[in-house]
Amino acid sequence: MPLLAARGVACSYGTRTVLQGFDLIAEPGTLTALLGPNGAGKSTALRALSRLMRPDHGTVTLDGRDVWRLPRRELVRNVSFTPQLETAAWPMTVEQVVLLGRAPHRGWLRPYSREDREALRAALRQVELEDLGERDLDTLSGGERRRAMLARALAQNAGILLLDEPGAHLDLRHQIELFDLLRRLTRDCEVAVVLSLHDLNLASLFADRAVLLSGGQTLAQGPPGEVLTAELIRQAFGIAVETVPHPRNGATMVLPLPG
Amino acid sequence: MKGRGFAVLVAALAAALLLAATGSLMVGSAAIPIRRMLELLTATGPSLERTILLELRLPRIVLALLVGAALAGAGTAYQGLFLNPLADPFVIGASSGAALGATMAILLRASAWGPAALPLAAFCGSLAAVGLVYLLGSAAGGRSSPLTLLLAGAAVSTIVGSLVSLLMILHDQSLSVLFNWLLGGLATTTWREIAWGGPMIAAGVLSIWLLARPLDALGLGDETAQSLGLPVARFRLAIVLAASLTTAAAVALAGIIGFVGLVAPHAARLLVGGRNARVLPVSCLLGGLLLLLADDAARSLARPQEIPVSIVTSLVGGPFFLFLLRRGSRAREAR
Repeated sequence: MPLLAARGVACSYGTRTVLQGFDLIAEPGTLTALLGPNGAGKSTALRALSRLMRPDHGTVTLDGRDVWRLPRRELVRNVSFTPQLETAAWPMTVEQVVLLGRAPHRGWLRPYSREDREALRAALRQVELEDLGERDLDTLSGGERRRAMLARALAQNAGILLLDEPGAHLDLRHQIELFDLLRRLTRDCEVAVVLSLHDLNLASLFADRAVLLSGGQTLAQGPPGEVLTAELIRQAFGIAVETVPHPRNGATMVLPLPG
Repeated sequence: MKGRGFAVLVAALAAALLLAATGSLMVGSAAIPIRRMLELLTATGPSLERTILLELRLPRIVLALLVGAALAGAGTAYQGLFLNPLADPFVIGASSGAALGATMAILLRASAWGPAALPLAAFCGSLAAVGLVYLLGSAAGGRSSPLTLLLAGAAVSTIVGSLVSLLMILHDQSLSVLFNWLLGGLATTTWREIAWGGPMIAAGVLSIWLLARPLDALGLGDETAQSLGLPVARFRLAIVLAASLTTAAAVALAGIIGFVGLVAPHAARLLVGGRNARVLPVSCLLGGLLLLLADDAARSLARPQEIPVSIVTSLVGGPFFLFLLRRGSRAREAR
């Protein structure tokens, strides 16, 4: 399994620095959650990891090789990125969108092969969208659309999945189902998942590691139970919280205190 | 739509095209019924009717199909490139750019340098215009808003159009030639023009077709396309080159003909969905059919006089454009 690592990554938009000294190792079989308030640098970190944004300092490496020196094709066979929101400019069916995930393997010219069709079917089965393959993306609910995007990432068959707020705009049930699925993938397929999210409790319940960002700086990194302390959360979000263990499994639950 | 449905659709369109072409052969100031036509085709020896058929009507029909397909193909590409349903060669200034290049070539008597001079000049003009619109319309990068693109296209078209007018006035001895050509002339076609224009259009449309899957990916946004390994900037350049080549050939052959490149891709998407590898061939077939019918109308509505075909396409396509614009703005308000 390939290993994606960031060391001392700093990124800026113009003169505004949005990420500094960012370190991360995406280990196979691990689900890592990037946490922090709006503008903390979560999305930027994911963009740097997926080579959508070139860092000013530091390096992102895949198996020890700088991603900016890798052939594009080799990188995207190993690293998939799913943006937060995706709208299709034209009516596109779920199958068509998911099959585009095969481009890193099939190229842009050759027709899709039986292998690609099988990857498509497997991906749709994993996200439970088998029956909606022929539907237009526009006609799907928010949760279904999310799952379709995830299916494309799965069809890409990459060892490293980067997801920008995969739980956004989903109701509780769909969030739980999505994270259940992501955790299953992490465990069963030995993939490395790195995602950003806002819900600290979901992170605590599902993530193996958490990275707490604030103002572009990494405040803490480690198991969610160690990162999600009242003091660190106060530093990051500027709010008072109390943490209690989950009655069933002991995971750290974050309870906000009204001002 | 499954593969078989698509094949049936393409076959039906091709049949409709053939039918329309046969019908168009019969229409004209000298009506030639189909039985007489078959006699003429098998007969040997020169006759006036045979000349009308093979040297006047047939090249004109072939040209209408070629130019219609070219405009529709380029329209599909530009709409995919700008992620904008209102883009077409005419709207975004590619046609007027090509016209400026071709006008300059005509005035400089460039045809003396070889048959490729005119289309080449049109190609350069169209590339320059699209490049300018692209820079103006998507200064912030990424998806251009329909309005910005339209404004940029209108501005560039106006400037370039004024330049064309200026050149025409300064060289008024060539005025009528240029004027007729600019208004979209399919009438003065010879097989010689088709011999260079046809391959140029075929090459352009084929290139666009090869870029169909990347165009699909681009429809999901730059980041997604990039994360699938598409070299977005290089791909954009390739599609601009291919679409501008196609536009330039169409304009060099037949002048500025608006709205075919807008209407045909839309109709195609309604028929086959959003997959560009399917949209493109259907769009080209529809574009050819559309322009052929428009030309039939142009040469029969005000007989014995001919109306420039661009007037017919604008009268049909203009309202359609307004309809799309209105629907688009309503959809934005609803969001």
